[in-house]
Amino acid sequence: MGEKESETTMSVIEVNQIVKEFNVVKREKGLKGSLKALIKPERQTIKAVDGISFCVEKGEIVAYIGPNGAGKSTTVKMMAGILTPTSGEILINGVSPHKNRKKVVADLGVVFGQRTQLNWDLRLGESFELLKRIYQIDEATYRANLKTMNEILAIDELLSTPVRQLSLGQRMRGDLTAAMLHSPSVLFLDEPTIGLDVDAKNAIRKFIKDINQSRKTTIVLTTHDLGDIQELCNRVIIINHGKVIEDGSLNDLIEKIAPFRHLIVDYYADIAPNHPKAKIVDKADTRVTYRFWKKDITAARLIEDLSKTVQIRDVSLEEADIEDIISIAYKGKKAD
Amino acid sequence: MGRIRYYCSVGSLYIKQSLQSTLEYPANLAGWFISNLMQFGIGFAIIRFVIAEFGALQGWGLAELAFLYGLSVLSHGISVILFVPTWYMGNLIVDGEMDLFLLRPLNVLFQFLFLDFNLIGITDLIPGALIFAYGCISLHFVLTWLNVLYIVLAVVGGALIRGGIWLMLGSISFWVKNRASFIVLTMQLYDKTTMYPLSIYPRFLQIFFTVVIPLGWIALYPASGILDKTLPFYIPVSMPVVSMAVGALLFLIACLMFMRGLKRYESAGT
Repeated sequence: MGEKESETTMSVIEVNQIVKEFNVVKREKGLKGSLKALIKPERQTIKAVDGISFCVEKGEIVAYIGPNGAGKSTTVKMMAGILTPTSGEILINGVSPHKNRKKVVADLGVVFGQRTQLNWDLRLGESFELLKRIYQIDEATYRANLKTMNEILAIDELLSTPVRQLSLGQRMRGDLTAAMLHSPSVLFLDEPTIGLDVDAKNAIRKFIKDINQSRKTTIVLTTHDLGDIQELCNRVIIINHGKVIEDGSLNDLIEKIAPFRHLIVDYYADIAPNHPKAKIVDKADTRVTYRFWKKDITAARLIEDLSKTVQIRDVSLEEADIEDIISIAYKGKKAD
Repeated sequence: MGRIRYYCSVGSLYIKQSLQSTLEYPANLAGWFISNLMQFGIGFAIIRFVIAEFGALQGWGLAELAFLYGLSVLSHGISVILFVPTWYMGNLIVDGEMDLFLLRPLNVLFQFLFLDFNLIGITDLIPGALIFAYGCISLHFVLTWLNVLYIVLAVVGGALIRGGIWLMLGSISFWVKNRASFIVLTMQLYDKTTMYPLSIYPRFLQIFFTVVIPLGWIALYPASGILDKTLPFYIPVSMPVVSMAVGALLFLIACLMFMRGLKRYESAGT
């Protein structure tokens, strides 16, 4: 592949029909089950990832989400060169992580929310010094990156604290800095906000936004926090049972799963006037909830029409709930 | 050349930071010092008792046995300094802690071996050196340059045999995906086969510990060679050199086994 060609046509991340199978011993419950697994193990093959394909372009922030056990972490680990796909191909900047691991990881930052790459016994700054040597980061770049990280995550105040004394939020600031020291072009964040308080979460989100804007870093984020997605991601890939079930922008997803909104009208009297383009879905005393489709009628028009017949005290407009939408999306393909 | 310099530079920082980590917990270091002093002191006391009660063992008197045991404890100390990560390798594999090594642009085996340069091994080296010195003085052993070289070869070779066996046993976890604890077993075996001449054991065990699991090469054969003891076989090369060669070969095979196993690594759930 020519260099020129690759620059124009290549995605930063290309995942093509990857499958990952694990061989596990089937375990039944109780001591009897444990004994049975020991004496006569019944092996079975589990497909954690079952033919996943997607591409990510430079500078995208992609939320890679799905319920527990859907295959998210397995995919991330394959993209990061930790696991080898059973079949299929992954290319990061045109290079296969399992054929040329060192080359790929040299330009990759990875943070696992549940794990740390920092040395527990030493001061935070000393873990950074080790990374500086491992990634052969020159002094000027190292200083510049630490300065940037200090502006975003106020890391300087933590540098001389032993890692074991850091709070979870502080440790995560340390881990994110550690992942950025060698200026990677791709960043994988596996549940970076797990267990964090509101302030710490906001700091992490600000970090992701800033890094993405200032450095055009391509970011793949797995999370269970829908706030992360709403605030950060222009694209959502939903997987379940090892397969991609949705891939698109959050707005498209809302449009597809819940293309309607609710108008809640509070009348002065206990009445519920109908409208040809809206459906009454709930009525409690004087409060009536109308469901209407954006393509049929605007909210303004609906309010105007309703107020022609009956006097309205108050109105409020309700967007589809993102949690509901994600939940519907998860279940969507479960049936088939 | 550049690569070697790079690995040396990273390795030296790993070692420096391991030393710092160890010094963070001085009480632990002191505890090990007392415990090891007692353990090897008792080991030596048992040898003295056996000799005092039963006389020399197959031509090995107290001085020679102190030389042998001292050599063995010295190689034990070096192996504890260098290879302690092999002791909890099963946990690293089952808990998915090898992930971290795979995320860095460095050889995985290198990172694993430099994970924990264990200063605590010095607490084994000190009693080892004392027992060895006692043996040397009693034997009026002359430390010529050649003898010093032989001792170094024997200690390093012995440490490589110990470490190589640990690395092989630890690598089994890549295949069975289970935590296997082999450390107590190997420690017992190492101890029992390097404290006395193997000739006190039945013939088949002697052959087994010479050819199959080469524990005799940890200390017994190099010590026999240095002290001009008769051996049940003839090899036209000096014993410490053979010992070093056996250690290097065994460790190389162990490294290859690690690399093979790593291909089967499956990380952990999340």
